[in-house]
Amino acid sequence: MASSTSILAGRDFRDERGNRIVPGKELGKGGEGVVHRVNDRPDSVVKIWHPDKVPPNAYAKIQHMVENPVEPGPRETWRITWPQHLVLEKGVIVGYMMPLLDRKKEEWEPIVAYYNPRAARNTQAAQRREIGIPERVRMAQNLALGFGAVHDAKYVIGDVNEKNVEVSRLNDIALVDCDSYGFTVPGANLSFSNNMGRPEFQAPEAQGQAGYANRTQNHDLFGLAVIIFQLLTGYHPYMVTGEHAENYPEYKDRIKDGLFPPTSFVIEAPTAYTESWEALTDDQKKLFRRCFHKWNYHNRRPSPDEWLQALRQRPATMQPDPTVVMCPQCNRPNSVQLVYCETESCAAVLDTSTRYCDRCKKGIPVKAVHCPECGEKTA
Amino acid sequence: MSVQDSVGIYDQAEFADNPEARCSIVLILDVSGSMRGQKIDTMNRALGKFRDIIREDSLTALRADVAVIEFDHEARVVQDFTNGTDFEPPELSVKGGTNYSKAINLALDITEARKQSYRDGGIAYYRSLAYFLTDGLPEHDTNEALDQAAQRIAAAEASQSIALFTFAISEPGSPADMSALAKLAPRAAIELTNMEQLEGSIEWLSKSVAAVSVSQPGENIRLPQPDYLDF
Repeated sequence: MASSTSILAGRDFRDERGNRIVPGKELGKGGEGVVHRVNDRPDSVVKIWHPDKVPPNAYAKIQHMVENPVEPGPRETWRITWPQHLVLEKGVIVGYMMPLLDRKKEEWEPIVAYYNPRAARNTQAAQRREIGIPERVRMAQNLALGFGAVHDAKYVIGDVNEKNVEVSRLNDIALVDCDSYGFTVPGANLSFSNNMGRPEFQAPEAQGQAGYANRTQNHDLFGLAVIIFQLLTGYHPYMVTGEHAENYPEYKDRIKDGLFPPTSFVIEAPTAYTESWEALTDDQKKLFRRCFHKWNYHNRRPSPDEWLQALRQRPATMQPDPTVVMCPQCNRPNSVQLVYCETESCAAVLDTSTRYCDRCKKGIPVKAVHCPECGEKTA
Repeated sequence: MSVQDSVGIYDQAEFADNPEARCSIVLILDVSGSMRGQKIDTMNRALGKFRDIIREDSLTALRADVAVIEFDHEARVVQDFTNGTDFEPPELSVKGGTNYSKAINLALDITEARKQSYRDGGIAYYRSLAYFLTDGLPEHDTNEALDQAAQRIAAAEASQSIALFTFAISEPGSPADMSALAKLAPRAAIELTNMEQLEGSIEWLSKSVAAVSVSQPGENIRLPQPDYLDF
């Protein structure tokens, strides 16, 4: 029941058909408005905007969204809090009804809790289970499915970020805050866009704009790739160290100038980042290079379908397996015979390279090796 | 090891644990004798609220690194940079006279050291925030030391490396001398005339930090309107 102190108490809310909507318990409060349960509708909630936060042309916008929904089938592994009904007060739109994400029962948490170790420790839902590469790959697949469905329905997400994507305990993903999506109403000369965004997820050509207006689905694909990269590696793709870190402290400038370490010989990245990158499959690396490479960015960003294809195979592990070495010619993993230091008293592991690749039979260059422990030269 | 010995030395392991981009915030707080009573109590209470607001949003907490410097005629780091997920405000108590330049220099030093550790760890970072609060005059400063501190601030502001906000507490009978602060920092100092405004100014700071983890209309981080002026 709405408490007597609620700003919604005693007000008469109706949907577009005139059916009464009675807000129940408050679930959340934010900069944009409040979210309440709905009495007699256990699977739905209402979002009521603060009076000064009602989006421009809200009636036409939500009406179009209600009539042209993005809806996952009952067995799909992604969800979306899409507007189901308009919420009107004396005929004026004040909010909308949308499906409930049961945060308690299904343990929905913002996606950041699943790739940032510290966030995971502070998040009960993430703590309760093992989150490894298989789980993260599932999340990435589900995210690609969700983005694909939104794009198929001709909507632009725009403000892609790690709070607008949540994950359940089954690794399903949910896209939330859909009232900020952009779209055009065909034949009505009406279009909606939003200018909000977080620089870490914005495409290079959107960086430096006064507002992020006029974004397209192509921009969304950049943000999608950033989140998938974070899920698979644990890091933001534009993490750099050394000289470039000094000149480019913020992601917005790194993105604008294409400072993606795997596509450059001069841009340094932290070791842990490089190790996680090496563990990705060739197909995944190819897609990331295409998306983040300085020269390729405009129209070659991977589509959700391409991601689904590339995510069929899992990256090796977060840490490269020390008993496997990649052939630099054909990039195939080779099982390895360990090479030990020949000094009997030392016997440290020197190099995990094999001399020849199993498949392409080409020699693998083995560096002249000095034992790191006793200094003996063995090559 | 005391706090002072380990100041400016940061373990890279914390960045593997939390690779989010960072906004470093340093609070530079006057603990001279005249802060005794209501003023120091309000400040301590406001710091608790600061922690709560930072923690309200998990992403803000992950991105905020907070340090606290207290100063009288000397300056001391009472809390070196700590991530918002762990930050606990120290309980401050009043001591001696007033010296601005030592506190400013120490704040700029630890902020620079912190940023170097970000670069070493590959951590992206936003412009640092600094909050300076005093209720007195820099009677223990030389003009030369103040000029040098002012030059350092001007250079750090010009390169967008830091944004320093200065506040002076004014009371009936002991109005703040705004001219000393005007010489110190390029951004105009703000006069706080009661305890609500003092508390409000620290609340405003915490909301400014939260701006790094909410969506903005365009790439530049916008600080919230300082509503503490409207009391």
